[in-house]
Amino acid sequence: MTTALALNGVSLTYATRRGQIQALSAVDLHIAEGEFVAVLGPSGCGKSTILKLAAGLMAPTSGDIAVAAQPVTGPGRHTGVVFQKPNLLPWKTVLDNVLLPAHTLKLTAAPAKARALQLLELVGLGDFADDYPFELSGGMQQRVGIARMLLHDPELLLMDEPFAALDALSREKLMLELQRIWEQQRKSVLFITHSIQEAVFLADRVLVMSARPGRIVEELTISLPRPRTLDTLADPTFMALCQHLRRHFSHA
Amino acid sequence: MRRGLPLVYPLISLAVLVLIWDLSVRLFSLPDYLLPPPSSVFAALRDGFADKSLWPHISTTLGETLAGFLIGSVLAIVLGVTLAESRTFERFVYPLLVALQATPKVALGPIILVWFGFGLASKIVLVTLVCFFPLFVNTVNGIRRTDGELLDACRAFSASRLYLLFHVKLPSAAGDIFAGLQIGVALALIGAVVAEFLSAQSGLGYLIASSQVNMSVSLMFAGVLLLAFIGLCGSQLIRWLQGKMVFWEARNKRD
Repeated sequence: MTTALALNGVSLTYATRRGQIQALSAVDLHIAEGEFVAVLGPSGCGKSTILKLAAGLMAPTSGDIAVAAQPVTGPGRHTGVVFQKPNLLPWKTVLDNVLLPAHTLKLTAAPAKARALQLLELVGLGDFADDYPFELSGGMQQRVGIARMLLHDPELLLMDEPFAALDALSREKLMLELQRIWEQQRKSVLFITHSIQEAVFLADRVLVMSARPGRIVEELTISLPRPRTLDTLADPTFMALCQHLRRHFSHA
Repeated sequence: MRRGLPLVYPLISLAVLVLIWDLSVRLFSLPDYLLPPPSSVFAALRDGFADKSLWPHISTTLGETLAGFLIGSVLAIVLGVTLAESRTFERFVYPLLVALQATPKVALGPIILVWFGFGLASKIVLVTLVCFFPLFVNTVNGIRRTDGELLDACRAFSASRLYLLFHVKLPSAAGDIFAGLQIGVALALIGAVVAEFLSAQSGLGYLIASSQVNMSVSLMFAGVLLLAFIGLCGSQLIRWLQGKMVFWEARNKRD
């Protein structure tokens, strides 16, 4: 198996008015092809920074990063990204928002459009292609973001707390849908979250981060059978895993 | 949608004001040269339209205002975008523009007359100058205020700088740009009138200034009313355009 994402000894220091802040300290992180990895940590631990580095939006102070065995020098077509906010363009329709990567990566128009419609179908928004984002609920907007992330068929999905701004019910629903989409498309996923449940429910492997400087303090393999369902949330093994992870945060 | 309805209320207030105006002129028997009754202002308007003597003034002022407004707005948006996108340009030019912004532009009127003559050109230049700054500042601020996370999200999909400018920054600045245009319309009209006060052979500003010489106060009022009407139409037109073009912001506000 090849490595979808590799971070080797990645550190990041940035200057603020109060001096140097070390956001990440010697982070090693590897995601195998088709693997779902969740990075769990308290707010401000630099977990979103890992995602920005992987997406090529930032460069590390030291260490190297590779996506699909290629060193990352900037945003590329191998990655698809969603953030906590849907970040849709309010002046474009749902379909045009999903088509954004087609314009920026100069994909052929007709097949891209067909794929966009197919992906909207996949996220359950087939009937909303011509609506504008402000006509949709927060959960629906985030689904549009997921469809956009998948448009150019990237090998690696980077998700930065995508469900954090949603209400509890939408969150559970989207968790199940993300699992379904992932099982169908078998992408490699880097999933950043501060929710223990989300991490354990979705991931094959959970990496726990500590704050200031951010580094990985535990790695936990989740071998719960798939597909996981809402019943999994009440499963004793699931709860034991959550309990185990919670210990990292109890003192905070 | 209850669009037409709210217009009724200000019209009632207006009618009441005109009535009070009329009554006070009669009650206190104010002389014509201080405050003419509404009826003689309307008569001045009617006569002016009947003998077609008002039209040249209207078209002169409209022409100056429109030409200056268009030139000023295009310049403001182009320079605003350039400044917001270029650090170098910002370092060299922005401080000068800020200094110029604090100067009352109409004070440059007499100088502009010397440079551009007493014809149409000097009026257009003054109008351009007057309506340039608010739009320029709004364009710069609008583009700078673009949500950084939205930009990052688009960058993550390899969006080019041009794509970000035309598909992300400019649309998100559109609300601010329209606010600048709204201020610009009012200022453009002021610029035209001031330029005509200084020196002109026609225009509504000229009409008001020359009526002062003959003490025909009704005609002065008629000129002011026409200017108010033109200003109102301009500002409504911009508002309508804004609603059509920046439709997503109107929606957000209603929620």
